[in-house]
Amino acid sequence: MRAINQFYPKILNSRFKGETCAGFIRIVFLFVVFGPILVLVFNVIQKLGTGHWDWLALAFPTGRRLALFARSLGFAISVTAGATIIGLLAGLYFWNQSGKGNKFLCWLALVFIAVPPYVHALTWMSAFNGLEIIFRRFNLPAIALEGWGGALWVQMMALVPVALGMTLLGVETIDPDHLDAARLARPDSANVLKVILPLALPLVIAGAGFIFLLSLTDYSVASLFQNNVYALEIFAEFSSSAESGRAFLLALPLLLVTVSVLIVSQKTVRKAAMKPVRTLPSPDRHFAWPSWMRALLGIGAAFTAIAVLVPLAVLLLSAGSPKALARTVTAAQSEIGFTFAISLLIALISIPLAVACAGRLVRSNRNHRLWWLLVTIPIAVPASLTGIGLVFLWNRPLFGTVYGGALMPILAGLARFAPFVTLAVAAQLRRINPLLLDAARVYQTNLWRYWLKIRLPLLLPGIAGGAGIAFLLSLGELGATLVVAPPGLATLTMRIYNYLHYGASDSVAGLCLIILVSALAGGTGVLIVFRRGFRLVRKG
Amino acid sequence: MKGPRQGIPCLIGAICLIILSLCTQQNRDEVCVVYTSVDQVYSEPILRAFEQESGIAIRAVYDVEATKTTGLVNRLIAEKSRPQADVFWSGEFAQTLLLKEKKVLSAYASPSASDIPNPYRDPEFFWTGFGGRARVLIVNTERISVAKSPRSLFDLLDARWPANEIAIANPLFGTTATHAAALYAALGPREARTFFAGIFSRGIRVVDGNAAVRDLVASGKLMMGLTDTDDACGAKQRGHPVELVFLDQGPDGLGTLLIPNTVALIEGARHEQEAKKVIDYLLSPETEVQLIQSGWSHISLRNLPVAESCLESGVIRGMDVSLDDVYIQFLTAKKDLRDIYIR
Repeated sequence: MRAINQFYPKILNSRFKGETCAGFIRIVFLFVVFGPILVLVFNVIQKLGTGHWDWLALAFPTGRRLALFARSLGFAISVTAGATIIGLLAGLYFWNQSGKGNKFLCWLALVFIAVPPYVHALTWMSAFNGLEIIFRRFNLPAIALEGWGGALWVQMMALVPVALGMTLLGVETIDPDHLDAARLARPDSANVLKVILPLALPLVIAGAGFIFLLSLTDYSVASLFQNNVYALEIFAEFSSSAESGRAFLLALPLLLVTVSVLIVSQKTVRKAAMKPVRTLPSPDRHFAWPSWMRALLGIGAAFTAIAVLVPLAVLLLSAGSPKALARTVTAAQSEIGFTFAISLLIALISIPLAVACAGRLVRSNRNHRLWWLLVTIPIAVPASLTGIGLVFLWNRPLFGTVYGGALMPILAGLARFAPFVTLAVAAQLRRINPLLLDAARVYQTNLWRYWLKIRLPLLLPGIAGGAGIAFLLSLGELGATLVVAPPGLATLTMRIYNYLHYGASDSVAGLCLIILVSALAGGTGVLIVFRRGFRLVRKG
Repeated sequence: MKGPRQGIPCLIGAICLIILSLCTQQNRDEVCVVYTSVDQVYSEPILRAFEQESGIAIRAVYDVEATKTTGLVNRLIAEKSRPQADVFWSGEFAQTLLLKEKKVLSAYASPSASDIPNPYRDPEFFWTGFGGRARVLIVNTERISVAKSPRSLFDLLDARWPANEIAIANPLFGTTATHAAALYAALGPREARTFFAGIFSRGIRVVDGNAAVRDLVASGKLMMGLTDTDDACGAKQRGHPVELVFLDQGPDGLGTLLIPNTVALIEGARHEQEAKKVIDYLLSPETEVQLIQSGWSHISLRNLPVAESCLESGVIRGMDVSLDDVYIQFLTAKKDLRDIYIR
């Protein structure tokens, strides 16, 4: 009894410290991520208060806008279905392969997340132009990349890496013991449908949610193929009225759909059999799948290879000679350093914010619905509006020199991408048996040791996946960064779009290759850090 | 070997240090913050030359076309209560007039602007125009000869030229939106609306931006398209088989839209004196010459004798509309075109 009496105050004390710390981080999350949205909402209320009640009509699409909205939904659903199926097939294919070439292709596909969809579109247009010339030479009918078909193909190819990444994350975290047990009971072909897919599906569906969101809020690809989507309507409104409130109200239906999809896709992430990533690197496995299944998965892998190799080839061919590429790199030195630094910081700072908030999403109390809204709404707000919200929030004497400094693009990245990391960590948290955590909490009274030895290792797949996505998306962010970029500093994406207008396709290609190399370097670096961290944790 | 117990606090410490250093802005006495929508490749050399000449450091923010003109202008409006920029240098005029209406600008009568014609200066000195581009038809000479190309904007409605071989940029954004507003001002809203309805019902290709028009025509995928002189001249100088045709240049013609650059001082600018020096520099005849020689600008508002390699004809007839008239029609035109085009 005396022992228990001595033990409990220690637990309570460390739990109190932990909760205080997490509570503080959650406040920071809300301020950084939800603050800009809140300011926009206040702005709308203020305008309504001055008699602009007619603005409310913008939130309810009717007639032309309703048709546009429906078409945009159809487009986003088609892209999501196509990209998810290809990513799922390819993910299973690569997971079952051990060759270094496959692993490299897989890694390369993932870093393509950092290339803006608009650049994907340009590379695909170039590739089809080349094909057309070849086809003409042989008197063959050319395949046209245009209209909704063209937009669908490009958007799908641009987002396949997201689906691939989430599938790999899903299958890599399946407990190998469960797989071994399943293989004893059933043939490998049956295990795909009965064991592997159900266990990996939650993260695949979460990935589909992300793809839907990215597709629904992007107007650039559809616009390049002369199709109009609802996101363009928001920009048209913002551009002509210069009223962020009007644009925000117009974005509300989009926001509602996106939030619903994200909540539904995340709800599927239930407890699944998994082990912490102590097993990294994964043991070599080779499932004896029937030839039809291998062929099907091979088709997915082939599409993924096409999604990566075609844009890569076009970029390499367009970048010109190594000398020209060196000139491009030299001219963009400061942008390269700045972009890499802010993307890395966004990914790293997102981690504590996400870890502190993810727990609130998986708790089944009254507040968890509110937390879901707080986390998902910022994801659905158009980037330019987030940027304007950041200006309203941070451009105050209270914050001194923060506004106008290089911290602003980091805050923009956090406001846009920290929710992604939070969702990834929450997805991971759902898969952990809470009894395990409670037991660990009782036996480990030291807060640091509890976090480092138990909680973080269990959360690591979600943290690594989420931070990786945040890093890659930050490399290509434009809309919010442009609105808050400090004078005198620019990101690589800003430079790319500047060159795009000028027509310097060689420089654009060179800069895109730099983004890919940065993404490869950053991704590999993060992976090495995590693996080393784990070895240290395992050694105690 | 350090364990994670030491490593993680070190990492957190390093991040905090980096953040602290990022929070602090460089403090330098003579600084001027310039927001510009002029392509960086053209504007940066001018601003660097000013830095060298004056010793005033320029911190620039460059806009990009991809944000559909929602970038810098909305940033300036959002920053109105505590402005960060000192000078706004725009590649066109409609957005500058919008900023005047939103009370973002401050009046400044630059001595360098004394010889700039009145139509290109705000009567209250909130902005001043200089240099300029024009709207032009870019034609691919391997697909159609200049002699057989349209001569009037209204020829785009003529079945002699196939609609699927012609492109215009999205008329809701950029200089195409300004061009549309100018047509509303010159023809009246009803006739202009009918013209655009005809353009869309004919099936003329509406593409992402002026650069996309240029690329489609330069590559030979399309016969012709409406764009700006800087885009068309850029393609021509890069050796593409293209020519420029200025529309409606006859004695009874409507003329083409001339798009001057505009520069303005920001209300409450932190570096007002430096900002005025930048404005004086940008409005000087020397800068106008530099802009023409670099390929950004093709028209001298002062009629400076500058050799322009891209344009063959010396005089371009502009549309007979004031910049204010164009701006007045800006919102009406955008509303109409959104209903016609975004479907």
